[in-house]
Amino acid sequence: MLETYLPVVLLAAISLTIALIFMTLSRVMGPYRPNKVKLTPYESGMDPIGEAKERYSISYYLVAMEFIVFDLEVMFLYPWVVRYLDLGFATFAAVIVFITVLFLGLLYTLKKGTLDFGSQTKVKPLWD
Amino acid sequence: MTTDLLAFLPGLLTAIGGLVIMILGAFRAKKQVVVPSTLLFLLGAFGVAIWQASMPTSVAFSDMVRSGSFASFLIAIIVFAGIVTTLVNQEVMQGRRAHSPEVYAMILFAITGMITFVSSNHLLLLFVGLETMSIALYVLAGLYKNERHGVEAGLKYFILGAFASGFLLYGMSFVYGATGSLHFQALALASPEVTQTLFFRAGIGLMLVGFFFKVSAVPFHMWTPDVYQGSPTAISGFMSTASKVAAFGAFWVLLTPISFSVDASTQAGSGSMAISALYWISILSMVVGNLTSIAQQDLKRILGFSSIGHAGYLLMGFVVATPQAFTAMLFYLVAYTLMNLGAFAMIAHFERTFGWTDASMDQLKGVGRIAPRRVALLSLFMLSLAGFPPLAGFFGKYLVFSAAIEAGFVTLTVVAILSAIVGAFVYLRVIGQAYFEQGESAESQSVDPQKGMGWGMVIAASLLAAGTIHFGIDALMPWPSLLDWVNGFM
Amino acid sequence: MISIEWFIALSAVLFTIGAIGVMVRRNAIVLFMCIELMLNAVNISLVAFSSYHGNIEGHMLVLFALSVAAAEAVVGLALIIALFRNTLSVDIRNLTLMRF
Repeated sequence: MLETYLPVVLLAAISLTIALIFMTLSRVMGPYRPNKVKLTPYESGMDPIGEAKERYSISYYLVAMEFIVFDLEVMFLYPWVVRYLDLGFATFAAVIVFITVLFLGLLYTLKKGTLDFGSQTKVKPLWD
Repeated sequence: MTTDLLAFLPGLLTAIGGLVIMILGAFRAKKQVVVPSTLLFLLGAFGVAIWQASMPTSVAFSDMVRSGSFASFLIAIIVFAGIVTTLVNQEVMQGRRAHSPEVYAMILFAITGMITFVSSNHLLLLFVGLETMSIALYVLAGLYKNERHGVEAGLKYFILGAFASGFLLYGMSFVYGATGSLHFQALALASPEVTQTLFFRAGIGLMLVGFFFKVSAVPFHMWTPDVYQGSPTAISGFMSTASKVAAFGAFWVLLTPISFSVDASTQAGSGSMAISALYWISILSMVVGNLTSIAQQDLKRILGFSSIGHAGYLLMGFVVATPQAFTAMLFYLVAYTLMNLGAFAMIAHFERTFGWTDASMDQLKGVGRIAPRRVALLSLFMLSLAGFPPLAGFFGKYLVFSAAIEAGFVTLTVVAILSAIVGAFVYLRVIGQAYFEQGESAESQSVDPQKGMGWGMVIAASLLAAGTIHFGIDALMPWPSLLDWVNGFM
Repeated sequence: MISIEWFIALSAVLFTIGAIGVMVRRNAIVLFMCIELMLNAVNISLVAFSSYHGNIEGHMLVLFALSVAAAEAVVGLALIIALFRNTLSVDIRNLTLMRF
């Protein structure tokens, strides 16, 4: 049972050995003279400024949330696409309904302005 | 194709309604457009459900949807709860920042989920319906997102609800592993060799965890009072009634054949695993729900704990599992929906009229002098919840208890009656607080106490009060009663 | 061919890690990731059972479970953002306004 994985294990072992051999060789045989400039993350670039942890705009999260949903809903189309010629018109109509519902969701999110970056449209309360 | 769509017409109407309201909301429709169209879609769904109630049970969508009298009956209760919630909510939420068209879209989506849930004939559809309902309810629970109470309620409900549905899904996967199918029929017809496997039993157990969470049975109840307290009051009423009707109905259809098949295989009558678990959970729910409500000071928390107790009475129907118990449970679901919705609606109305910041018991002091008729309405629902004759709550309890006695569950019934007495004390305390305590807070309010109920509240409250009184004396009347109708499902 | 027990064991281990995570962690985002882990552990067992029985129903349930998990993720993230705006942290120990 597990023997079927032998080639994979073999391949991993060989590639690991070769990589290790070359890294050791280059360290042993080549010159190694580190200095401060050489050890910077971007050797010939700008010095990094500020914190790496920066707060993102809230619209980033809104787009991320919408991405999750729309990204995953497309998953339902794959099984249909694979066999769509055999499945006939009824299935096609069902998929059209599905996409229409998704489109209504997109329309809603566009009208609400969640995808508007930059322009600071304040969503004001609707009623009363 | 057409018959499929017809069989699922109520759910279709509410789903389309939800989408329409959502788009109307995006295009900044006025409240005068959104609320009537919500009501229109709900009334349409209600009418279709009543029309389909006389049809024989049939399956649609390649055996995945089951329509017919039983499903239509549950759909009718759920949609009725939705109509009342819309009527009450559009009035009591006026002027709140959270009041927007999306509230009504979410109510419609939640109802779509519940309809899918109760008409499912396949575990996949059961799961999708349950989650559609739950996700819409998470949003509704966290509606007051600028208040800490609202966020807390929404997040607690969300985390615990998602946790419980993880268990439910795991249970489904085990049951699927044991039987190789997700169809209810295939599960019910599974051979004893299959139903005695550890996988099948563990699967049923895990699914029961998800179910007990949804109906807030002890020990899966801790979210209930918190969520009911933090959510908008009209929405709490909706959550406590419609979602429970859906959960009880769907799981009755799913679990009854399975628990019977487990019974047959062990030859032990009511000694099977599922039934004995239900027995203890029913007792625990009744006792804990009613006893804990004594210590509560917040009206919405009291109703939250009382709904745990009522879940215990309803679970008795599963434990006893005779045709009488089945009828009694369905009748009790109707009665519970009417009286609990009424109690929440009246509290929501008082909250708005008297400008309460919270729904604590002290706020009710002296309200009986200012608004005696409205407090009388609240008292009506409270008395029905307590089980006083001749109201619907009394008759429902009577039916459930007598079915249990007939089937020989004496201990269970004695515990139920004792806990009902404890519960009655709590409801009477609320009424006494309103009528007999001197109120300093209510009378010094700057709001105009004469400001009465709007049209929505009047319609909703009179429907609920009429139902609460009518279903109490329904069986004594010469015309065909609800009970006869429910008996027809057997 | 790997026998089905290994898949079920893997899914059980992942599910347990997720469930324990929900119970012991205090960060709302981590809690939420643990719930996602539980749902995905179930997906592993569903796919394993589906190929074991040789029918497609389990696969179908996996597709729906994934999309439900996505919808849940959206609502959960929105609620967590609301919590952050209220308390300036995502520690669920702040959720103690309503208790016994």
